[in-house]
Amino acid sequence: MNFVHVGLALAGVAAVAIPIIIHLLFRQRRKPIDWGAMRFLLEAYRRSRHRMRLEQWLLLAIRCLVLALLGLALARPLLSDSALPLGPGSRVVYLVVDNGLASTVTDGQNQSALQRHVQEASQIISSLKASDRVALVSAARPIEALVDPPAVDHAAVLANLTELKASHTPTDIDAALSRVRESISLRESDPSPVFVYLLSDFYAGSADLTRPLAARFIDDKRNVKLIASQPATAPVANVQVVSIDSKRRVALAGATDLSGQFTVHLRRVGDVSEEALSTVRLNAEPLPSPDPISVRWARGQSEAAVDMRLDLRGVDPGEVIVTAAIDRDALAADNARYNVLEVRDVLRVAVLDRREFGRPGDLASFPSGSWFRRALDPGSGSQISVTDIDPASIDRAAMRRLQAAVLTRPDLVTEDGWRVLREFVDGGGMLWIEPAEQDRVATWTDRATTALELNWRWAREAANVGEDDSGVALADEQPKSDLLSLLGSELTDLTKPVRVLRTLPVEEGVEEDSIVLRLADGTPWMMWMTAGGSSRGGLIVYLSSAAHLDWTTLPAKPFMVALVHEVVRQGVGHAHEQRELSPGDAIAGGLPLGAASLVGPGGTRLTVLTRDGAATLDRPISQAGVYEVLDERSASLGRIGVNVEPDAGRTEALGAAQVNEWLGASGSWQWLDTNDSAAALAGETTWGEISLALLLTALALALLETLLARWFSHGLRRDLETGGLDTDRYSLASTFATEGRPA
Amino acid sequence: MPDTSLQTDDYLSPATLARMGAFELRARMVVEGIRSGMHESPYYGFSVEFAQHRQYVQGDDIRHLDWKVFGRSDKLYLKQYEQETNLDVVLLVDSSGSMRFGTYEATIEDGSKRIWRKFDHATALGAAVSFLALQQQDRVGMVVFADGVRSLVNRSSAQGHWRQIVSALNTHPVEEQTSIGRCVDQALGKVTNRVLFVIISDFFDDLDQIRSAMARVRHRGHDLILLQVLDRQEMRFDFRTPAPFEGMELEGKLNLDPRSLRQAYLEILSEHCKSLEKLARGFHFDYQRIDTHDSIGPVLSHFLARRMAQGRRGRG
Repeated sequence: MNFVHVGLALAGVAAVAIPIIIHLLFRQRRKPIDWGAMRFLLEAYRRSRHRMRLEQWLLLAIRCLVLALLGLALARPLLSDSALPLGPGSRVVYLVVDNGLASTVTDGQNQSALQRHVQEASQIISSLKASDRVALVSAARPIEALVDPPAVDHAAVLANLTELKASHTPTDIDAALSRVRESISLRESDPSPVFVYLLSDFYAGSADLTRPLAARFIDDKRNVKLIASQPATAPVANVQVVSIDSKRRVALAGATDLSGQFTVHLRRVGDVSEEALSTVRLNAEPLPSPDPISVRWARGQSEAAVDMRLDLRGVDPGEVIVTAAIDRDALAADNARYNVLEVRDVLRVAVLDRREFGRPGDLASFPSGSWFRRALDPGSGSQISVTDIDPASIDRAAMRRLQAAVLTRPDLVTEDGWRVLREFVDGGGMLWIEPAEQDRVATWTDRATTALELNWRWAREAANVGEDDSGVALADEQPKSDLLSLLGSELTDLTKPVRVLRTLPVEEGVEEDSIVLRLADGTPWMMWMTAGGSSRGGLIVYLSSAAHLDWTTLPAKPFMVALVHEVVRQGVGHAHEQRELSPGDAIAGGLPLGAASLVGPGGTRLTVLTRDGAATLDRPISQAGVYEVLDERSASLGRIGVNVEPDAGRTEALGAAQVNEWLGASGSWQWLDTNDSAAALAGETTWGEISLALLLTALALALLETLLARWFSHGLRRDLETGGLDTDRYSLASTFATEGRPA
Repeated sequence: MPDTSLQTDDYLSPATLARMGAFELRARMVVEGIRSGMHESPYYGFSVEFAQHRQYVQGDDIRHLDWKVFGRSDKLYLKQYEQETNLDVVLLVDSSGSMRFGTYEATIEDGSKRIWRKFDHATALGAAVSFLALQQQDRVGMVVFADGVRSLVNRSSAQGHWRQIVSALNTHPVEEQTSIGRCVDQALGKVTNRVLFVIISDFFDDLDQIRSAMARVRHRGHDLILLQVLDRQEMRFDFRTPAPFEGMELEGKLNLDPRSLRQAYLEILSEHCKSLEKLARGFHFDYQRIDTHDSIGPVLSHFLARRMAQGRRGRG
């Protein structure tokens, strides 16, 4: 027997002495009564001695017992199963099952780690008694409490367990244990012993040992026993498709440029000690697949990249799902990766410039808008369609049909116009802004900053750059910007002839990685930004000189056409870029406007909810694959690829010592007996509290003592016999009075 | 001196008698009580005048055999003559340890409390009975006894003899057991003529010994009156709290809860008293139980009335 308060139990036992002490003290202090009829008293005592002694011992025993029971009850004793008269006390079992991507690793019998863990969990449940309660938590991110609070309906828990499927997400053991810890702390008053089973193979994808566990059971006042399954001892070789990078984010149908070029990155994790061979296949229905490419892994090699090309000739405009896949290995989910390639027949670009009618003057007076028109559409066969829009009357409907817009006269844009431009950017458009060639003092910058929620702070006045009229050249070493990445080594040659004479610079707020071009003096000349930090896409590019020869020699140089085309092509790709989703994601920020649901592999449907202005999914994505985005009328808005996080599929074995040290931060863990999963339960004695029973017994005994004491002193007996206290019933005086006294 | 406005019962009540510190005064109070009630009380002498035949029993003096009856019936009868002389009365007053017991608490003149004991009640009774007998010109003797005879007053009807009796009664009980048989034997040894013995005691003695004593008294042709003096608490035994009880005749100490023993005790005491009374009736002796919390007047009156009725029946 254990006690919650041992001190009170000892006090209860000591209290047994109280009636005896009281008896002895009063015995000493009582004054003797001289009694004449002692011979009759002695005779009465002789006759009643045995009965009286029995009565006195019985009363003393009951009184002592009452005090002892009260003390024991207050000490809250705990009795083991076998000692409990009314059956065993209940236990609480938490089952934390790793169903992350790494749990799909199969063994020699083609049984996955998850299937093995489910079997172990089922064995544990089947060994429980009916009064035991079970909770079930799946540890794949985001963790899910499938059964909590703990329930006695073992069949329901088993049903949840057998339906548990592997997720394509990493395992978050820390979050799962924290959930268990929270559940335990909510039931602190429950004295039942708690068993926490953590069933995982502890591959690198299941446990990030670099982050210490936050879930703490060490300080728990309750009797919590922690049991973890044995970590896998050997790493498992696994090759992953980590990414597919396309040269052009937006492909033009029939183009023969770099639109169809892709780089597939591979990673080998787990056992890399042996040579291996992987075959990479690229597929983009209905386009013909290029020939597979084999990657021969050398010993110790863990990364590889493969360039592959799709023939986009004859492809219709729309979305093409590009899938890079390798042969089946230990983990299937990370053997493929999905990318959505946007194919357009033409790019629609507007030049937001006020047309000046009449004969154009010499090149020096050539307006900025004209330079852009020529650069965008240099001749026949161009796949860029250019339209003109007056900046003072920007039409919302017209803007919707565009993919990009070049604003050469921001000084003419009204406040409403800025709002339309903001909507255009938020809708995935690319906006190129440059100062108006007429600008001396720029007043439009404030309106632009407000409307587009830009962090940039422009200089108020345009200023000449350089110490003489020749201006400043562009820097020889330009930043590695994605917008100009395809120019490669040609960039230096193209930028060399360009001189910059005048700029309206951005003085603050330019982040280093957003700089596209830089002047020789280091001043950012071209930069980009997303509007208001929007996650929906959209891109704003700013060139701090107007395309006018008073500002720069760029329009008259070959770099003008290359710059405009690359920035527009790549910029539109960036602007339309959808955020890549992963299993476990519940945030739908990267989805197109109007998205109402997602339909994934096997017809899995996820509903898009809008809460506090943010789009979320009704439940996290669990499977990788291609998902179709539907609007409220179930019309398709396009498709997106959901790809696993590569780290989720890491199959390096972490080792028992490391896992033990990692788990040890949260409490004292013991390994699960692989032969008998329920061994820890069988060896444990459970305890039930019997305070209430003891209190009731003490109360009943106290009542019994009162009745017996009264019965033994004949008070109760007389009450029962006469219905009242008749003190003269045995009195000789009354007899004498009635018999012998004269009238 | 007692208040003259007192009634007879007042004179003879324990409350009044206990107020008299000196025994002499108490005896006088008893006498005053008897006198004040004389004109209306049926107090008669103890002389019992009747003649009869009694069957001979072994040990009787054969000088009194009626030979005529023997001649006619061939049976031995003693011839008992009418006695013209007065009756001799011998009082036997118990002064054993148990007679010290009392629970009646009276307030005496100085305001202090005084316990009225069984022995006080017995001596008051003795003084009253002896006074009544002397008033009838009877000779009165007295024995104060416990385990044996402690003091003795020879029979006499002389003037002033009552003072001797009262003086002898002015003593205290001793821590001795009651031995009525021995005392009666000693008293019988000192009388030759017919005597009325009056034993005033609680009779906390062995019933067999009492029976033997009665038989001897009857055998000698004497008469006997048993006045059993008991305290009311002895007859009720209604103690409420556990306490040690200590015997007054060196029986020792006993720790007990009186409530648990009350029934058994009262049954035994009741049985003893009923047996005693039955014994007395069996020998045609008078028996009277007296509560120390009651006045002795009504008891005396009742007793003498019964005694008178018996005398008449005997003469008739």
